[in-house]
Amino acid sequence: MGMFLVGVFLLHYPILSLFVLEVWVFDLPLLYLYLFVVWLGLIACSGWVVERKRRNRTLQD
Amino acid sequence: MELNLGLLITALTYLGVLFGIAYYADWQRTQSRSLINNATIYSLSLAVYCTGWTFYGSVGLASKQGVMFLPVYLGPTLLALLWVFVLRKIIRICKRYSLTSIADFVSSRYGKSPFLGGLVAVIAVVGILPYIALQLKVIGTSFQLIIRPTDLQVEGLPLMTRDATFYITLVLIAFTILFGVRRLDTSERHEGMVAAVAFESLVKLVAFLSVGLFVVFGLYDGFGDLFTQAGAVPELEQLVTPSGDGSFYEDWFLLGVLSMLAFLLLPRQFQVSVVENVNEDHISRAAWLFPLYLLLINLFVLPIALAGRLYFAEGTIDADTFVLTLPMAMGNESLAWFVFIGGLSAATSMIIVEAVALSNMICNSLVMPILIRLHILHTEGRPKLDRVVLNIRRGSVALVLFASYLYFRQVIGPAHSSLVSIGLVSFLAVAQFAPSVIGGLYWKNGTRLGAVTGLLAGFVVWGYTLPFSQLINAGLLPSSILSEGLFGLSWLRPLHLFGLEAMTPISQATFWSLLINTGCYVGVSMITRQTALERGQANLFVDAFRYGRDSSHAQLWRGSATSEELRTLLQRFLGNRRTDQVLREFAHSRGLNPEEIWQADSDLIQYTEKLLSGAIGSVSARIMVASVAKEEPLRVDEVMDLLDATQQAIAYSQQLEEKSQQLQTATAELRKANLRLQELDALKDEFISTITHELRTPLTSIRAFSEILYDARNLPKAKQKEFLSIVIQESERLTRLINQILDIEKMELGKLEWNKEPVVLQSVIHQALASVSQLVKDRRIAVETDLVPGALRVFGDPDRLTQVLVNLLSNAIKFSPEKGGGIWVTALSKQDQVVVRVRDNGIGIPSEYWESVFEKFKQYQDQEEERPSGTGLGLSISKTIIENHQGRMYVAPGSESGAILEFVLPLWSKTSQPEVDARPPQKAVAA
Repeated sequence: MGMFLVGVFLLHYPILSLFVLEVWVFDLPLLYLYLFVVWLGLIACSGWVVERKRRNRTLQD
Repeated sequence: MELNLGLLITALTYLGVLFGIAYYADWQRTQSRSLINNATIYSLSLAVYCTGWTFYGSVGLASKQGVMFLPVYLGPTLLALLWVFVLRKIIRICKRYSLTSIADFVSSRYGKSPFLGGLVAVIAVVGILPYIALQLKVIGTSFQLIIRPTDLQVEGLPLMTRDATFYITLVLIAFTILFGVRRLDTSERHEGMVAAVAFESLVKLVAFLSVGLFVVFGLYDGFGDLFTQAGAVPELEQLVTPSGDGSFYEDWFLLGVLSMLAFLLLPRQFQVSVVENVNEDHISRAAWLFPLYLLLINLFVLPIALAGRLYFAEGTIDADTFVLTLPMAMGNESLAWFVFIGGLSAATSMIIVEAVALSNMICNSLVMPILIRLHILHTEGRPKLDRVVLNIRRGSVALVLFASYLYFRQVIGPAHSSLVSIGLVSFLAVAQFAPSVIGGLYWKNGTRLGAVTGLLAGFVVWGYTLPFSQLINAGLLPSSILSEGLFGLSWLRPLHLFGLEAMTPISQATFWSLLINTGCYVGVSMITRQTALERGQANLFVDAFRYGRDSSHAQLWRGSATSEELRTLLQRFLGNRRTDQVLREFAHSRGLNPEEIWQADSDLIQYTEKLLSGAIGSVSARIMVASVAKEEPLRVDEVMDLLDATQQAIAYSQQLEEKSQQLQTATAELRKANLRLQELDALKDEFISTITHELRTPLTSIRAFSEILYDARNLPKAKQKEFLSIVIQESERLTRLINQILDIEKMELGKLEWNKEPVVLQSVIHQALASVSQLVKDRRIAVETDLVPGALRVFGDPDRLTQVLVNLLSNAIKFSPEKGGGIWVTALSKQDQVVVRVRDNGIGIPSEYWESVFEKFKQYQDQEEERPSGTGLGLSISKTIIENHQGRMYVAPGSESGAILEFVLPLWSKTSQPEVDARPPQKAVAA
């Protein structure tokens, strides 16, 4: 639930507007890079949480 | 011509492979193995979300609006983070009540309303038509492009496409019917279809990634190179680094919300994520695996779009086809074929699942209720209704696909709409279910009328703003409506409803339809009242998690039916064999004889309804059962009582379980305590027998020598004296023994008086040394002391502490060797503690005795030696005294050669003066 709110927060106005700039990082446009990095971050977080829970559950069984 | 043949063979082979997979999965299921019972395959089947829109359309959108293609995938990613709550609840409800479509779900939630189910089915079918038409366009266009590469330069759709698409539609109808509508099943699951869809998801992902890699690393020198080149072109600069002005953020937000809702509510998503779900636990892994899939398939969208814009001259090639036309233009034929297969996968998987889901809805929620109402199905002459149901579904599939083809030909073709704009029309249509579904899950007061008005209002606004304006664009309606509004009323202009000018057409349609829909749902719900059944269903849905995992759900039915009637009913839809089987299962689960269950109770009636619901939908099932069972209507308060009773029963059984667990732990504790008591009892017996033995030894020798003295009067003087001294020694030993036993007794009962005061430990040590000095001298033992200079103060009883030290010293003396004996006494402070050590160079203590030397009457003795003098109580008493001073006493490591005994006491300081301790020592139980 918390992760959902963080995700909504990071991927929308006004935080998003901080990255809508003509800035290039490693030859890549900042916005493009930012979106994919946040996206990957969310997947990694939720994967970590889910798999840890799953492991705990199988340990208990 | 050669190319055509090759392509045809490739496409047919591919379809053959899909059939193979589907048959294999279905065959596995008949062997009671589930090929798709796997979280990864579940995640892949969810990727049916990525259709021709994703495969071709995203690039088209990205080539005009840059990153704006992304919210459609970020929405589901965010939603996936909430799955554990929302999706799990929906799955739980649908499994429990055998709901197999979103129309079933909504109608069941609002009092099993047939009208509501029908309405949802109509909205879904009408709303999804453009979406299926989009897939037909994708297949048609890509087919046309790949068989006639020379037409590449022709703008828009070549004329031939229409006819080609028609044949493709026919093939797809056959394909879908063979795939998805083969037999009637009570759970409405299609394992073969899901396995094939999962495979197709893999194919389209690999195909898209191949194009991406080809473009980024084949045509250009990596991401950086491509972006830099695109950024240098003025027209493309806006795509790479958008300025964020205009309606960028509103569009971004609304697209995100829209895709989130669509992902949950699209009939095909509902089918794969809820109906085809094998195990609830799969959704937790899919919650990260599926977003990862989305990320991968989107990674190359913008690069491909930029490369297409850079390569092709403006306006020559439809950007929606870049994925295919780029490899073709580069002469990479095999990659182009692979891409064609990928796009075919994306489009066909969507069409199959969507058509199956829609045909299920049309049949269960529209046609069946009407047929039953019209008493067409009640004639006894038609016993085999399962055939009828299947044929209705097959007809529905054909109808849906054919209508989509017409929409494609009449509306999309002429209007030249982009793929994404068509898809969004459908997204918004299914988003209209959101207030009723989500409200139905979390808000008990939503009523049937509220849901009906909300859905109707939302549907009308949607229809007027989006498909209507497309009809106008296609030239089917006068274009004046668009500019001047319906009947010349300017506030009724479809693209600027109520005069809203600031938003894009899709955004304003989203805004108005969802706002009006939600408003009507909530508003009407608040002013209307629920019937008893609605109230009951609302409770069952909202509190779904409170009713446990299995099907022991509340009984919201009271009535009677004869068993034969129920059996006939089931046979008509399930066939004789299956009916016998399910009834045997039912009897078995109740522990009844199959013959006995024919006393039809409400359990059996409900079981029948649930089975039928899986086959023909909840509404039809209810009507069918009601036609044979005489129902007695329930009042609202009765429904609430029933629900309460169920909840209480569940809560009660949980309490019972808890109680019995508590009882078990309590029993275990008691058993442990009992064991401990028995041990103590044995110890006490042993103690008493040891004491008697210890007391008898000196007593016997006193008596023996006294008798000798008494009898033999003429004993020499020297002998007499010797015997008398033995008598005196032994009496002293006896006295000492008795004193010590009394000490122990007092200490263990806590009766001993302690006169505690701050004591300087060095002076205690000196005093103890003084009292043993004679003994030391007699045995010529060297005593060395190493005491820290500063006064070591402890809070304690000086007499008792002296007793401890005397004890340790006497032991050391006792065990010292005859010659060259030595004793070392050290005292030092460690942090806030004092450590006192007494070491000798005697026989030492083997490590296995380090614990037991402190037990009463336990003496360590070397085998060669005589039994040492002493009582065997000294160390035990000393330890008890030290423990009473909050200290510890132990045998220190290294005691194997020369015993080292240590005790530790807390240092006393003025600031931390402990309370005068009158507590009994810790071992009070032993007495």
